[in-house]
Amino acid sequence: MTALAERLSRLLARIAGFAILGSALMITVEVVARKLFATSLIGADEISGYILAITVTWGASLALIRRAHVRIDVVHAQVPAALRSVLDLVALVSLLSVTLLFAWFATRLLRTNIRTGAVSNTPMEVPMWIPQSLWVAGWWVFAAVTLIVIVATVGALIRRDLPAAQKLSGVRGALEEAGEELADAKSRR
Amino acid sequence: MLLTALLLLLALIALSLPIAAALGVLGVVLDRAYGFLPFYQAAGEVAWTNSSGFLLMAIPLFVLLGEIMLRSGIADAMYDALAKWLGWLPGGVMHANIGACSLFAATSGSSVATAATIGTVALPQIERHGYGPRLFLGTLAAGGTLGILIPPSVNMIIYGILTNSSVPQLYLAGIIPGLILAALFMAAIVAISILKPEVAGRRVRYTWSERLSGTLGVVPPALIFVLVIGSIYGGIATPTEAAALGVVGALGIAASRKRLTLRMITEAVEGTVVTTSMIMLIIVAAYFLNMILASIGLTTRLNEFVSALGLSPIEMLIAVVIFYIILGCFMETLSMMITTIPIIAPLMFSLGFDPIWYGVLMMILIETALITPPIGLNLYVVQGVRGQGPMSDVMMGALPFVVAMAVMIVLLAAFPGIATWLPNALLD
Repeated sequence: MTALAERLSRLLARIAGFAILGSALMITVEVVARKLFATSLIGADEISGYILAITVTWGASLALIRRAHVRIDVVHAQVPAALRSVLDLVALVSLLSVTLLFAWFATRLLRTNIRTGAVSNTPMEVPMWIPQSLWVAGWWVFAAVTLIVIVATVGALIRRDLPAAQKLSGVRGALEEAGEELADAKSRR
Repeated sequence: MLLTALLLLLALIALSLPIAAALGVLGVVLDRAYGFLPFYQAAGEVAWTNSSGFLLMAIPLFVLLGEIMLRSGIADAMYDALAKWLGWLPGGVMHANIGACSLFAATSGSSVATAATIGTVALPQIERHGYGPRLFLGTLAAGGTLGILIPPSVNMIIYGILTNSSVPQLYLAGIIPGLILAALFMAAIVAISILKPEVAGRRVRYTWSERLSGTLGVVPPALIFVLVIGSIYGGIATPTEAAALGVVGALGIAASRKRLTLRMITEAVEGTVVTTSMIMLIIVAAYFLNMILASIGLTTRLNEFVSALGLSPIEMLIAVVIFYIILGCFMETLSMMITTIPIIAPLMFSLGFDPIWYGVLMMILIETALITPPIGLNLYVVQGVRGQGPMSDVMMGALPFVVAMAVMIVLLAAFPGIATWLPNALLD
């Protein structure tokens, strides 16, 4: 289940990432066209704005799996391992509740916009449901992935497999993060 | 109400909740406790309007630019060029550490990645030329922090968005302080090398032809800098568009060095999305919290409280600097910025401080936070690159540069023109 969640998260993040790269190219074309031909081809600014909003929700799951959502471990690092796992679970549950809050009210916004047929306030008049439904889907996937990580962590704790639980949901401490930056820097050379 | 909110926030953060979740939970709790309407129901609108803007798009694009530059294999040649030019100074290639970090920083918005990349290239020099490890490690940790002061800078974009100030002006304002701070770092190295010759290592001298031929190594980062900064001030591009041009330029550089592969791009975009999503979730949650703070009247209460203290602007400034230095010892810098700026910056503006000047001050305070123990991420990165010896070496080695930063803060307060002159001269 966690393997599936990880694959889905990576897929979503890659799609969003290539969309960001695509908007870099699109914006460049627009800048050059504006400079050379004094025309604006496409609403690159509007489209890339939507891509960003979608990226935020589509990338959040992979960020969770990589434990990239920042947590302050001043206290966390000082307490015994068992208590640390409790804190990790509290952290995940708080993240799930806030995500559900956003997912719920984002869905409500989407439904209102579908009902009223809202379009963007630009020459393109993009129907808001198009970017917003992708964005809302990202919120729900993020909530589902968070739930899966919670279940997997509880499972690991029941098996008394503390290292596995830490790997799923522990704080990526400064030392660990530094080690990863370093491994990256070395692999790039 | 003020005290409750503050204590609750500290408690949630101390519980090691993800920062975005801590801000969201605090918002809902305060709203239920003090709000007369269920403001939290606006969460959907707040999240959408604050994550779909074109200026915000500059964040992922600059992150992507940095990710591609890191993978384009330019660090070695660049470091080599700077070592040839700066190695004759007392303190030898430690000056190249500062120089390479500032130059690399100019193309990448991340202090941590800068320290890791230059650190990996530079560390073999300790043994080769007999440097005192402490000071050498300190130069790497401190040099890496210049990344957020010298444009382009992701942190400055976030500041600009949170305070509604002009990113082009902020970028211009950061250049002179960035150069002065780099010069202060180098002066500190020279001073220590003269006082304690045993840590200064060997100076390395090269002929002029060696220097000139090595200089090619600084061309790629210089190109990106000119492309990004030049297109903004040439009136061709907005900051977001300049970032997009930078991404295309970086792809070109990577391609010319045969580093452009599908795998490399995939890794770069994945890293970009994870970083962007992490930053933006905190921003969205911070906007949600601020909407609630304003609607329950806490922002007004805070303003009244501060004006009742009757502090003069200078006293207030000193209090804020001390606050950030202490907070920076414990808190990760990005979350520190996003949680505090929307509340503290408007207070400072109302006391008459210039938003652009204050932005530069914030960047230097954040740099300080990156190298003050116990939670200074750059210290850990450099220690990780080194892979041996006690952590205290790095902390001690970074100390002279913390002093240099304090000097810079005093200079900036005494002569605000350091930051404001260039943007005023060029943009009016």
